[in-house]
Amino acid sequence: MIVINVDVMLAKRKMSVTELSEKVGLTIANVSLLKNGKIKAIKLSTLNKICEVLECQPGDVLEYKESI
Amino acid sequence: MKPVTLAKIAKGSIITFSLIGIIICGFWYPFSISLTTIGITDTAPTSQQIVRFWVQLIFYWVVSVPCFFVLILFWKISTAIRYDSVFDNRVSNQIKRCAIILFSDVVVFFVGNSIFAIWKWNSFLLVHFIIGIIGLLFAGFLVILSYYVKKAANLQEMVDGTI
Repeated sequence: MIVINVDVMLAKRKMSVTELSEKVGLTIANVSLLKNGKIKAIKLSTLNKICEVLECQPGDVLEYKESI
Repeated sequence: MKPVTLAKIAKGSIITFSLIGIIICGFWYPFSISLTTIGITDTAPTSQQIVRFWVQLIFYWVVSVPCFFVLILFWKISTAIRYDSVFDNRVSNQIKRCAIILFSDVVVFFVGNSIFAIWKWNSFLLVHFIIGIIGLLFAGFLVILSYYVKKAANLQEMVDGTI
């Protein structure tokens, strides 16, 4: 399964959820869902924005882990 | 058109249908059944005519009850319309439930009408056979609607979970 490591990148960039949501153009609720891995799908345009704001690669935010 | 307006239209339609149903059950059924079983006569009806009258009337009242129950389910669906949450698996299941109730009711309706037709045929029964066919077609339409609402609900869930 795909694991979302947005909180790791937020900590590295010392950015809050509110700041990320404002810069990416998502609601705080959606960013929370993203952080908790409760989203079903992410648009490439959203992923693009997240990587631009967090100055990272998609692989820094998304990680594949084998489900048990 | 806003969901609130659509919900008002839906609820208005349900209330209208309910009133029509009450008028049919309360006035038209007793009137037309008495015309076909007893007829216009100066003499007192026979016991057989009275039995036929009450059996038919009670039967049509009983088969009308599921129709009112379906209207209640439609009322719940109109609440979902108001909150713009029609594309939901619960709504799909409610529509499917309406279809099953209507279909079962139509089957009982046809069986009853067939028995009455064998007992003594009249034009009132012909009208009810036609109404039964319309009910059957409507039940079929609801099955199709339920399928597509379920599909839309799955798509909605996908969209809601997409950022």
